[in-house]
Amino acid sequence: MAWALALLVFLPAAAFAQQAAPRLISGSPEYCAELSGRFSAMEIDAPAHLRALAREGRQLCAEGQTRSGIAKLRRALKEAQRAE
Amino acid sequence: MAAPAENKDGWRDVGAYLKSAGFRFAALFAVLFLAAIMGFALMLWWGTAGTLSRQIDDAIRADTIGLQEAWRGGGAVAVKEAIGERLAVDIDDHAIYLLTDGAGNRLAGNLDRWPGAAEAPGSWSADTVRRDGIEVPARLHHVPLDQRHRLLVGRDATDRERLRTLLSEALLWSFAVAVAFALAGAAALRRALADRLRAAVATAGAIAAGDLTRRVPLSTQRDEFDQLGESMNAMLDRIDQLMIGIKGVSDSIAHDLRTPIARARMRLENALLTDRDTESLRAEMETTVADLDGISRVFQALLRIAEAEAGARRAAFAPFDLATVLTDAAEVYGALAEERGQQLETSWPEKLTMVGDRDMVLQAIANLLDNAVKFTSEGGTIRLSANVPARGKRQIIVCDEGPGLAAEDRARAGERFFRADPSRALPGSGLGLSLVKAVAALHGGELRLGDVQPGAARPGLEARLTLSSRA
Repeated sequence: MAWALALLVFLPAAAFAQQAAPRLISGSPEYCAELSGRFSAMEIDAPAHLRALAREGRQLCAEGQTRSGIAKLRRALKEAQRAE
Repeated sequence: MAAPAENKDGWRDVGAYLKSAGFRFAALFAVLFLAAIMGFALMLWWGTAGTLSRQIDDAIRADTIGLQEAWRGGGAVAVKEAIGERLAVDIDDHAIYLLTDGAGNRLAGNLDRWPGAAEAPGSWSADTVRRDGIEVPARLHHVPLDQRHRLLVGRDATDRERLRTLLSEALLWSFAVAVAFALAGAAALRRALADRLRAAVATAGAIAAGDLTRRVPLSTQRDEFDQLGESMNAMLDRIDQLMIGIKGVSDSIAHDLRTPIARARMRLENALLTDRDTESLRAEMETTVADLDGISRVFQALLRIAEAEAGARRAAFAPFDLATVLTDAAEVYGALAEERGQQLETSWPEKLTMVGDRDMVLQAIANLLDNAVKFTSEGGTIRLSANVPARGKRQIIVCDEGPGLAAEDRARAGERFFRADPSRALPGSGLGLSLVKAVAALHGGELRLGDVQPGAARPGLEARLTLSSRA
């Protein structure tokens, strides 16, 4: 009976794990840090408004609003690339 | 017990409704209307959701080419750097990348593992990925790089799916409204058709029931239904005229034949009741036979007119020389005119070939000459001539010096048994000109009557019989 109960509990979980869709991992704090590092490499030549934008992004990431922070950092990076 | 019969009648009504022209027109309208709506919807879908799908695929394709170039330039490291750069500036956060090694380990990209739907190398697939715990649709392309490395390039298709959902809902509602409009339009069309045809159907029903005076009422729209109504009314007028004509002919036959039959009967009765010698009896019988021959001639003339009018003798059409026919007629009636102290003057070309019924044409000329001889007084002149008035036409003209015909009598001159007042005292049945007119019609021609000397006390009658020389 015990093994049957275990099967009932674990089989659906196993099936779920198998069927679950792959996950997008670009919304993590680690990714925030990666983008921040990328911007740092070009920060010296970047215009002031882009530096401010990147600062806002880092601030948001630090506050746990990673998606908004990432969005701002990405915009800053894109603008900086264009400016180069 | 009545229920099955009622059901049967109900099904019959439904069957009749489905077979009705109104329903079929309405159904055709509804189908065409819905087909137009479907076509519009397809074009809209292709132009919006389709375009978005194509744009996503184009972006993936362009990305793939860029990353393949990076692979060729610097291998996995270069691809890794290129993916990082691309993701760093992906403001919309729609791009999906995954670079794995031979063991399936993630080397670069923003996807945690390889999706099951994109296993086949080179495949394009629609799958879902999880973003913040929510499954979102994605378009994925598997790009094999070498034996160990493989690359996944994709795009988040949430916007496309949202547009598709919006479009689907809008089109579904539009289709439902279109179906409602198509059905309402079809019902209105069917009703309009039924309304416009009702008057014609009612008229046809009344006529079938025996009321020949009914006519289809016409509207002021002057549309196809009014044209149909006009045609029906013209047809009914013609039938009415024919019915009146038939009735007139029947009356005339009864009236004109009653006298000679009564006379013949009286003679036979007298001969039966009175003692007479053989000679006297023979004379009575000869007179009676002559009367009966007259009746027979009337019926024969009626039959010939009917034959000519029905065109039954068209099969007997053959080429002949009209000049010869005129000569034959002139020979017979010239002698008759001479007996009455009249002169017959003739003139026609040497040859007048035509195709037609020779006997009928001869009979028509004979009838015209018979009238001319009958109405021209002693010492008068009758003219018989013929010519070619136009290509493919032959014209025979008979002129007499008789009293002529009043204009109103000329209009009726072709009616069976019609006799103008001045001719009632003379022998005849009133069928001569009817036959001439019928022969003219049989040969695609006409008979025109006019005065020889307009305004004279005895203007004379000019009969112009025009015939087509070709069958």
